[in-house]
Amino acid sequence: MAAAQLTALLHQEVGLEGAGLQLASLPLDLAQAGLTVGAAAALSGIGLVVCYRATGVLNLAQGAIAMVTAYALRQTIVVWHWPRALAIPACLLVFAPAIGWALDATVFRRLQRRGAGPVETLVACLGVFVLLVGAAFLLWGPTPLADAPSLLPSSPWAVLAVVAVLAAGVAAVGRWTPFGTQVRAVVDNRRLAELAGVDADRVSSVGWAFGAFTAGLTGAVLAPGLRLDPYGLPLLVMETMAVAVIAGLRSLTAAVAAALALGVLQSELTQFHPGGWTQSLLQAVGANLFVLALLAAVLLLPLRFAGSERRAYHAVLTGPATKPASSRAFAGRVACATLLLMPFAFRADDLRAALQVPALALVLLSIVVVTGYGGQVSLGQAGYAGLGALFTGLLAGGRLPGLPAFPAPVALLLAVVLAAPLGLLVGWPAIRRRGLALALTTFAVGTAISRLVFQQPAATTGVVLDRVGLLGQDRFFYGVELAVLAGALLLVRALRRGRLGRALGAMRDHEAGAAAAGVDVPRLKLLAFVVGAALAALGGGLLGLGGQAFDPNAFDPVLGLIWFAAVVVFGADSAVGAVLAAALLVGLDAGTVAGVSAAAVGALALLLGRMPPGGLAGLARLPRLPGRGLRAAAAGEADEGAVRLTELGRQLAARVRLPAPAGEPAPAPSPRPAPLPRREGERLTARNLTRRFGGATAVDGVTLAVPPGRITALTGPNGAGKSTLFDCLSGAGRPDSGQVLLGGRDLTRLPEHARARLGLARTFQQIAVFPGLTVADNIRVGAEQAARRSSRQSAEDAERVLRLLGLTALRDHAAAELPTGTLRLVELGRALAAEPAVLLLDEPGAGLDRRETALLVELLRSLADGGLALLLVEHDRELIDELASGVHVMSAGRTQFQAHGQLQLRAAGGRFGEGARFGEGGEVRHGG
Amino acid sequence: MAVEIELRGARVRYGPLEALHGVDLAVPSGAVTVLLGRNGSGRTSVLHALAGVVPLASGSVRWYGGAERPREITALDTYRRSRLGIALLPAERAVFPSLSVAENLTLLSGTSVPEALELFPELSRLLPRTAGTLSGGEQRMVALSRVLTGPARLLLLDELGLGLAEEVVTRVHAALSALVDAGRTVVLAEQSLPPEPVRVDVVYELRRGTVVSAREPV
Repeated sequence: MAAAQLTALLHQEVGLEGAGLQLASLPLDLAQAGLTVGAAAALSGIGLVVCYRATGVLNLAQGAIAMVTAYALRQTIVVWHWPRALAIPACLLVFAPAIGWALDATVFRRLQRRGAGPVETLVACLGVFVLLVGAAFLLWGPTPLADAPSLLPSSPWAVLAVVAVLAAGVAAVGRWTPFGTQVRAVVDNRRLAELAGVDADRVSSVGWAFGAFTAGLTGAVLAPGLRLDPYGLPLLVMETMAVAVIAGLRSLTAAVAAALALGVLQSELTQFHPGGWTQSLLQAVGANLFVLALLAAVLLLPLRFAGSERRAYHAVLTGPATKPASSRAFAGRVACATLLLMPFAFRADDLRAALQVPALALVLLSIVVVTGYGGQVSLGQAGYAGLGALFTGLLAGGRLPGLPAFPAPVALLLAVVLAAPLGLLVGWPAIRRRGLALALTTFAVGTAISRLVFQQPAATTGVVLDRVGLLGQDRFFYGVELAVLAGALLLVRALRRGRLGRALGAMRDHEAGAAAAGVDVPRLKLLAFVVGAALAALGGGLLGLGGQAFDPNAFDPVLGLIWFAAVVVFGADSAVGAVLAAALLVGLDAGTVAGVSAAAVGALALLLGRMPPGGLAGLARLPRLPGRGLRAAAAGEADEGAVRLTELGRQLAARVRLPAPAGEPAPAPSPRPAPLPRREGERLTARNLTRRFGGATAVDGVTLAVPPGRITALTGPNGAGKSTLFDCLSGAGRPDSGQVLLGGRDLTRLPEHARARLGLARTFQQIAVFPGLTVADNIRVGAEQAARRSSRQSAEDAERVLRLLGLTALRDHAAAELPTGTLRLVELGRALAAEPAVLLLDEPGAGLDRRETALLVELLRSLADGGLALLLVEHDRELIDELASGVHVMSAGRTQFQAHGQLQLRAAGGRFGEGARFGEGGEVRHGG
Repeated sequence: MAVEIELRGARVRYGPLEALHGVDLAVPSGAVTVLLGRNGSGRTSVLHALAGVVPLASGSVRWYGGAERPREITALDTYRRSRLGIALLPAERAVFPSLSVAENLTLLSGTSVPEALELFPELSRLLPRTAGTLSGGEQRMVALSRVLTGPARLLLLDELGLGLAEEVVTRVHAALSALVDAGRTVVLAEQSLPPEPVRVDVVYELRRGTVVSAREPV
């Protein structure tokens, strides 16, 4: 493994392997040795950072590109006898950049154009990793080569000089040329950059070529110090991820400093020889220092990477919303069942191999639950699978203190129970993280478990995974596995279809929106990770029992990455896809040679950009019209001219009295039904609310009241603090001081979902709907979560809201397919279904056309008449005039003026506040 | 009146849904054209087709840009159209969230920061901030400023007033009419006609992906 490579580097430099005594007496040499490791880590670490800054992708395959370049250099110089003056530029300036350019053109450009998030790019990187390592294996074989040509004198200072030149070059380009800004613009928002005249394709090609050049340079510089084989360098670069993470994927200086510090610390650790278990602990720490540093960094640092978390990734990761079972889905299930039943007819050794399929399927299913359903990237599931196997073996072997040896089935169940709460290890950090930060966190935890537990002989001795009695017969055991898998599939299906599944989908699609709808997001995340850990442990335990031994390499973190990639290509939200992926992984390796399955997954991962959202499962779900999902996703907005729209328009037209638009007769007003579930309106009060961001005070001692039975408006210039105040009221942000009261109850310390359950509903300035859920389910989430309705009742409530808003015809459409105006209504519907006492609406009229606005006005008025308390943030003075009975004008964080009704507002003239009464933060009188 | 850009038989498809069913329209030079229509009528698709954000399934885009004879730009990339002088303000948030406000304002537009601040002096105190941390309305101002103070001949503006305080919208309208007086061409996609002082020259009304009327404003 890569830890061994780093240690090898260390020993090679010092010259004597295992010369502990001499080392201890030579602290200076030691520091020198540490510097060697540190310089190597610095070079590969800043390679990762530079590539991330140039492409927006944390390139897991950076090390693989380095390795291939190092092989190319050796091939040209040693085998083909090219002169160095030709070989070095050919490899570093042509070959390596060409790899980067080709990767961009064929794989990553496509992904980024459709707004793919860190998960897809990560999976694609993994594909590159696997294929490059596989290619090197085929071309040059697994034997390590010691004759890699060295370009530099073998001194850490030479490596550090390369690091310094590279860092200075990158900083200079970033500072003094417009290219640096263009690169960041393309990484940030590709389409907007093109609109601003940036040739995004060229910029990203150059970025990738440069990233690959740094990788090649890393390979050329480091290969001579290591022995060159297909695995060493790729894993070494993954190992130095810690350096890049500590640098926040941004600061080159911090990366170099961290790398040197870790290198020196690692070599210093070899100096201590206290003997006994302390020594073996120190050795373990020293050998795994970079992994520990990564673990500490992901758990302790805030991890804010520019741009990467803001991108929503649900649209690409998962396919269209679940629809009623189609014949094709049925066919998929039948194929799946047939595949799983076939092994009963296999020969003994084939059956033995097939034992892995259901077990692995369970592990993959855990990724489906956590990532596909819950939207939480989890790269560490292999760790939980390994823990399942390990705990089963320890329990069956009677190795846990105070516990007897259990029979295997009992041991397995207990192991699942033990492993499940360990899901909290990643569940806790996941509460505040998403996207790339979460991916790194889960990967670090998984790797740490593997290195510090599975790879330690002390932890894995005495493990018993024998099957006795009937279970000892493979055919019977396979039957048991299938039964367990069937049970798990039914459980997951129930989870997916029910209330919990809708809540998970809401969390996956829009976290803030889910919290506003009353979903307890932190708890749900913990639950997802605990269920995921339990499923993975169950699968891992069965894997161990199937093979009747604990093999630490069966749960290697890199293998875990390949499992993750397999789930994503087969469709992250498809349980059937997970089973098929397991069958493919096991079947290919058993049928051919080990490693072929990884190559197949890698090849599929590279095609991810050409698949519809939801991977292969998404492909299977496509309607028969060609190219549907692809285009819709690429366009990002199917907003124009959806045929259904006109249907909605017609419905709205029938419901709404209009100020007669040109050429169309005004339809007769229809009697308005008022069938909404509703609780008594309550007064929402804010007292002296203050919220600061850094030095700026966004909300400055605001006091206001939102009385029931009225519409209160909040208006004012842009940047005045309206949305921040709104967040303080709804619970999305906490005020630094002041109080929020609902009726007589103090809400200030309650989280958003708890406020939602007490009757506070809100909408967002940037519409918060759940694109992966149907319109009906979007609304149902509000009824279930905030109003705590039973399943049947919530379905009825949702239907009523759909009817009220004229959305019934769209009930089964995924929200992703609908235009903006309709989505505003869907979001409003979700808020209404929550049975609110107070409704907070942030610019509800923005982007609505006349009809939709008219519908909105009528609806809001009838809600107020029904006793609801409403607060609108709005710029549209006509709308305010028409609706509001009290207006708060906000400016520079303060509410400066409160008008009561339309006359005062009009009297205020051209600009709010002129000639009007000022009452800074004073108590507000309403309806006077 | 000279034509700045025109669409001929433009069809735009998003998957199986056709958003524009063969739209013909011409945008007069140095004038204000308004595309009216309800949500889903195809206004945004027309702007996107002109700017090259979506490809045409059939039909063509022809660019005059002050010249006598048109140039067919149907297959031209977005960034090349931008360099010809076509600027689009999308309806969604249009800033680079991790770039500073100053970088957002000056990226490739050829303008300097002071020029970009003429329209929205209130942005001056926000220059060093990361654009993603601004409020919705402030981000909109940054985007508008980038488009309006840039060198483009043709400004395609989708829902100009979205998320902006009325007083700001008034300012923007004044700036627009000044730009038109200086010879620029403006296309607005709106729910309703803009107020004074903007002088609207042509109104295209769209319904369900077709132009149903082309007229002078009443």
